[in-house]
Amino acid sequence: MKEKPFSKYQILSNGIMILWTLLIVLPFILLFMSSITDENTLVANGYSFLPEKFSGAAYGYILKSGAKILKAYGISILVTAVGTLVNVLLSALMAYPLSVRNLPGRKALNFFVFFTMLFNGGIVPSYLMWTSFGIKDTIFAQLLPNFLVSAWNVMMIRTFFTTSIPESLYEAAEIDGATQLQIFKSIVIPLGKPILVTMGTFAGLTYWNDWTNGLYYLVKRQNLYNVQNLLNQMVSNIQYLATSSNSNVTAASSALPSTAIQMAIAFVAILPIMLIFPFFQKYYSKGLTLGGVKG
Amino acid sequence: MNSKVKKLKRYLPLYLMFLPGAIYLLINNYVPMAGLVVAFKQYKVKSGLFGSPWNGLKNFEFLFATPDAWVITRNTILYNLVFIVLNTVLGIMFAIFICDALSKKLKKVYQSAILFPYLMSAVIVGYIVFAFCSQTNGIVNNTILPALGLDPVNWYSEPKYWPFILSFVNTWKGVGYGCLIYISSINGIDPSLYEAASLDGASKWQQIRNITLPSIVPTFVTLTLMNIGRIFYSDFGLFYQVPRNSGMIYSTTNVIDTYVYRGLMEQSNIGMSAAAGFYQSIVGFILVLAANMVVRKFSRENALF
Amino acid sequence: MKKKLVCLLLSAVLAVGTLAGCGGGSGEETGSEGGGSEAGTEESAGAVSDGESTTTAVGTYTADDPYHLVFSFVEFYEQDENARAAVQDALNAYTIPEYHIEVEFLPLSFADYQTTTQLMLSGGDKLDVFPISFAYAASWINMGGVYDMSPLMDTEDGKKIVEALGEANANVGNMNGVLYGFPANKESIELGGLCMRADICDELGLTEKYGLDAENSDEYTGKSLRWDEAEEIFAAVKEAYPSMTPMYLSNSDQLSRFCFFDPLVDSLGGLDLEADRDSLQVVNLFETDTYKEVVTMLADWYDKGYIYQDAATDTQGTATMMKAGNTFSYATAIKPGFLAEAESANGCDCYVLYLNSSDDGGIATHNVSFFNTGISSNSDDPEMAFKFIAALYSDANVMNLWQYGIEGTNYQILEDGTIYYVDGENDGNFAYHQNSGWCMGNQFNSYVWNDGNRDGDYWNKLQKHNDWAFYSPAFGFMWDSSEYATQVTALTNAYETYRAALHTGSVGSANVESTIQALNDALYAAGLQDVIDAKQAQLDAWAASQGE
Repeated sequence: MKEKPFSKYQILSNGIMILWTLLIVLPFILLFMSSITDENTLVANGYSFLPEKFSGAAYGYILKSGAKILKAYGISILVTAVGTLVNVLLSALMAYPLSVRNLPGRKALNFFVFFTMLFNGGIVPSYLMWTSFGIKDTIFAQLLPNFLVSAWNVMMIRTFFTTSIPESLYEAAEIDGATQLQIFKSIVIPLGKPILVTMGTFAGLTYWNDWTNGLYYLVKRQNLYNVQNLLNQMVSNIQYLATSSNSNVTAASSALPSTAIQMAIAFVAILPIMLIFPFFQKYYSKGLTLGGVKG
Repeated sequence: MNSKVKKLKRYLPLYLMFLPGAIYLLINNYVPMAGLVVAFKQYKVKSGLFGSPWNGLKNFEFLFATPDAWVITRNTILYNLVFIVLNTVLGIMFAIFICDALSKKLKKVYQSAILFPYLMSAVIVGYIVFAFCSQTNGIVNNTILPALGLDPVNWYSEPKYWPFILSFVNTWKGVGYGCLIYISSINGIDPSLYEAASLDGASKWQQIRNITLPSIVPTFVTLTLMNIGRIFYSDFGLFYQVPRNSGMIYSTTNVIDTYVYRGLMEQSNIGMSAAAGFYQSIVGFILVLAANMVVRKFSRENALF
Repeated sequence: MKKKLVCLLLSAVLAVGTLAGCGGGSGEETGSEGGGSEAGTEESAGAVSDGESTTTAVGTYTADDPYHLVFSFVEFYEQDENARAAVQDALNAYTIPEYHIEVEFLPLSFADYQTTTQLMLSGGDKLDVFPISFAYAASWINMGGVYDMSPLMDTEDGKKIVEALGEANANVGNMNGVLYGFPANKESIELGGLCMRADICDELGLTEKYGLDAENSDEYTGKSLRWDEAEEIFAAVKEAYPSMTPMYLSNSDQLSRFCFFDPLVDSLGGLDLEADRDSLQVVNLFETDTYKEVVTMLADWYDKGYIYQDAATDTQGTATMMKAGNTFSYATAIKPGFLAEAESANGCDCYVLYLNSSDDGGIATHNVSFFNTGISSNSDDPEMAFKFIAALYSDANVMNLWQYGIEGTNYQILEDGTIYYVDGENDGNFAYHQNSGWCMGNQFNSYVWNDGNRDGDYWNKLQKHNDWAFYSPAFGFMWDSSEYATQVTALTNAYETYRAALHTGSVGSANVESTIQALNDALYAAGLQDVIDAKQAQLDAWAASQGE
């Protein structure tokens, strides 16, 4: 493909991608700029790429509650790491049998997984279920409910296994006397790497972005809040307090952090992912080639 | 007999692999699903989910007995259709472009960029849209429109602009998801196929049409079927936070989820929220069964189940 | 394989069975259904205490074996966790010997309050005393989450509460005969006014012209601003500072600053008190002349640039806007002590003037019972919970500890008997200071928090502020919308479609009439008449029962 360095196709495709990248980056720059804008300038002049007056006050505010935010980071990182690993492992283990063409009952099992994407009993039954396991006000509240296995991920991984791993490989392995676990370890995982890394990324982002588990299950132990819990609680308090028509409530809203601080916190919450992801990308490269497995 | 034992021996490990995840889905999804009965009940704390008195379809009435029923249903379906089409077309296009990036470095840049909006919460996206569209200080009204010699627009009270704004924001935020999945499927294509095609003198376009696109059809079908199943649901944050809950534009921003939220905000009616969820699910379920049947007709292998 | 699936589903159903058991079975013997009165209350009306121990229908508690009580409240300001734990210990050091109650704080943020409380009520979690917003009261009562306290009112504890609140206010938290909660003692009247930047008033000569300086007090003295005067002020400001916003309004509804209706909880059918103060006739408020007059005026102001252009969707809040320096004034409720609060929040000197005269000030049910203190039906021993509520209303120690923390650690007593932060602490760095006495309990029976502008007489001033208000004839009535949930959902959506645009003027003069018409059409199409009729029937029944 690289015989003609700048074919029309390459100019067009890269041009479009550069434009799209700019479209994405600009709002992020705006977000960052507003987090270092002087609050009064922000309110008076609105958001701007080049604010009249800068201020580090928002980050100063964050530093002040530094210990709390650091702890929340710790929780976020721990939960995301463990949650993602378990999610990918369980999803891959589920997806592989679903991709085996002549597995008896495969259709029913597929349906069993898919059905959970359509119906859910709502928050109250889930709450009753999980609290009966005693996870309330423990770290497991951040980890266990909702995200440990997602049917969506399982279905995507299954589709990849079905289409991208040739059946002949399995047959060859079985003739060689390999057990299913060996096949899973030596064929499915290496060849499935592209989808496992992708779905792992999304599972990780789901854990990183989640604030509902903390809200529902950590009523008495808010010191187990993750970064998103802190951010969300702050932002929704502002919305609820400022929009109440009761004057005692609105009075309380004057003590809340300003827009610049919300922007700063939003920025701080996504920063780690923005820093880590580029390094993580090497795992996005192609999976082992077929030849590699055979040999 | 011998063959049965052999069969069991062959497949048992596969069932065992399936088991841990299945147990989780059972606990997390199936057991609470029984709580859906509350959609047909008048919920009482002391009687619990199952002991509460039945009240027929009363909880469902609010979804239909309203002049807005048509608007919210139309909005929900149309937006979802547009989103599915945009995210699929652009997702595949970007995926192909990214895989053919000029250099590894550029590829990394594109890939990161396309994922980053996924990290932003809807509230923050709402602020950013507001930064552009605000009446007093918006960048569009203050800088862009005057530069083009146009009059300022009151974005948050003009319903006609919102289908475009919301579609754009949704694509901006969501296209990365499908895109990365398509990238992984393209990465899963046997490279020798491209090598052979190049040797045969196939053009880039021919390679895309004959190798890339057919290889990602299963992924496309799976993603689309799953999206159809959720066609009555919408991203609450997108439709509530981004239009800043502005009443004047409800005609193009109100969807089933926001309607239910607004209506039940101060009512805390568990039965009615369950009814809304049940309604959204059952429609999705029927549609997905139908779509799946169609897919099965054409290609058994690509069907979901 | 089918068999396997069936098997799985069966086990799921079985598991659900046990789930239902634990969700539904707990506390069947202690609580009461929302509506009905509890069997067995006759013999056990209230906790009996002999100093050594307290006995209720459920059990006997002593200082060594106190009742463990979960007390949830809304925390409006961020508190230090360790300081809060220390205050809880200090409170228990007092309540365990005194009441045989061990209190566990369960602070909730305002945004999470509804979700969390709803889940705890539904999930059968232990919760004794909790705040009930009047907006959620009807649905929580109807799902049986709230304990009816009326059988306990004849006890000693009940009398203490009546003494603190007065007969009328003690009964305001009452729906269909269920006494679900008690309001806090506070300035219940929300009289509209304008808070303006002092420097600009001085500069433009407005101060002398309207006598703002002499009148600049947040205590009502009989002087108020007419709307046309307010408009003159805005015009002067707009002329001198074209880029400044003369009046900030936001998405938060401030209509009640301009006219007083009794919205009968949700504004979907209410009493037009501007037209007739004694009428119990439920009408569509949005068809009244008063409503039309007010929104037409606001639209006119908006067109002239007097009102913040992004008002309909804005949620930034008054303090933020005033601090930023390009806002001249905002409409708000004024009360004694308002000025000092506003000046510290806005970061500038302010003048305030009432927009309504005193005889425009009214009190309806929601003004008094915005938040109520009630008992959850998950309480293991409602009689002990009631005892604690009585303490919140009659025992200054309990209220002071919960609100202000420990003397010497969190606050100090000043010479005049008021209190303030200990040296070194202020609004920005305090460890513990709830400042939510307007929300639960009887703050009139606690210290006065002296922010520099209050004296020991402050609670009396607030009480006096209430005294000249007129009461809505429907005061004490609580609309039960549960049978009309379908209509209310549709009505809320229809109302929200037009509310912000009309109430901030952003609809514009040209469209006011057509928009009011559109609002009313949408409301009637959504079933407003049904709701008005039902409200009228409930109100009539309530009025008849009041006469008895």
